[in-house]
Amino acid sequence: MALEGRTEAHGQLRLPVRVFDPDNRRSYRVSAMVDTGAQWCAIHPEVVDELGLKARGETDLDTAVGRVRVPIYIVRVEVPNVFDGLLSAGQNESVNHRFILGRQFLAGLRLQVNWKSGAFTIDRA
Amino acid sequence: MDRMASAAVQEADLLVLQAVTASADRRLFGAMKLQKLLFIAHHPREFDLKSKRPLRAFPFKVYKNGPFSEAIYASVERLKVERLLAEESRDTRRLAESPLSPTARDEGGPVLKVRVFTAASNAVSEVSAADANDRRVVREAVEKWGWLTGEQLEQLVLIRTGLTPALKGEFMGVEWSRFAKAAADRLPKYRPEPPAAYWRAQQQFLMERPRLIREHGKGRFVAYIGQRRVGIASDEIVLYKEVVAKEGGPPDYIGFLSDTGRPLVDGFGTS
Repeated sequence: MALEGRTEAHGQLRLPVRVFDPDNRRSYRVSAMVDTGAQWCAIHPEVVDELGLKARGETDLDTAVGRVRVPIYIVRVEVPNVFDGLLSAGQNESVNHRFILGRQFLAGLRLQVNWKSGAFTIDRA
Repeated sequence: MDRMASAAVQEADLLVLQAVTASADRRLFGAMKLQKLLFIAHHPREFDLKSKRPLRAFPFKVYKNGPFSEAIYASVERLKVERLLAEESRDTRRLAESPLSPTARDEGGPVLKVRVFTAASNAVSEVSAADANDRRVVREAVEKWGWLTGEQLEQLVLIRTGLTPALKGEFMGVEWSRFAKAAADRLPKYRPEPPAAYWRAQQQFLMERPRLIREHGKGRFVAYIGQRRVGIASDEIVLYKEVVAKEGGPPDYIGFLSDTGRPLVDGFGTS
């Protein structure tokens, strides 16, 4: 089983995602951006608030504008046909994206992108 | 004011002294903590204090670690001259009494140093010369939030006031009331705040961190429920699942055994 799609403007790669509070059934549907330059996932404070997530720790984050300290949440992420599991997500309000999928999500998956046509396929390797 | 130790001591100084005398053992760990507790006393509603009349003793401005008042340090100096307050600089790595982060940097101080304030034994009677309502709101601020570390208080204040890094940069040095008015419609809409259990579990982790590094080495995650350590593992997701399976609920805090107490990850969403 695979998930197929097309990249968006500026080559952005987005996936339909449901983010869950792992401690209950509350969920939030979002179009999440895949960021291969990020180690963990990023979650916007709006999603944190909507789900009522509780911080489970904090991390130092190296960004283009320096090192910042952010709260970390454990979330359950569901991507149709591809992934259903727990991931670490650092809070990030500095971008417009509601959820960003980092390399922790991509580990164990196969992502193929045709940058010329914009078509991509993601499946379990 | 006629009962004050000296004319050099002003009424506002006694409220600084009140913050220290209201602390456990008449000791307060950190200039940042002192600053933030007195700021909270200036904003009782925002910080869930019973007193509704705010303290109006110190002018705060936007600074590096959030709200800051130079006048508080002037008070500290006068209290030291009058021997009502003692101050010592302590190494955060050798401070067993307080759960400070190993990277904690006290307000205006060098790295790994924290300013510890101790009130003189006669300070309690001197404080009684200050306005009763002012004393009450400072005591409430210390009783409600004084158990947090300076760093935790900084985080709490930044969250509740909505002072984001971007707003801090834009309003650096501006009087707090002017900032609050000018930035009112630009404050973040969503401000998730950790629960008390998170702060307490984090403190326990910070207290145990040096010993756990000696016993287990660096690079592992450690989970807590309240102040009880409930697991240790190399992967935070594996650890989370183990704790849920074993304890029937998630951990309140997961720390990381490293020099900082936190993992370092590369940026998300910076593209």
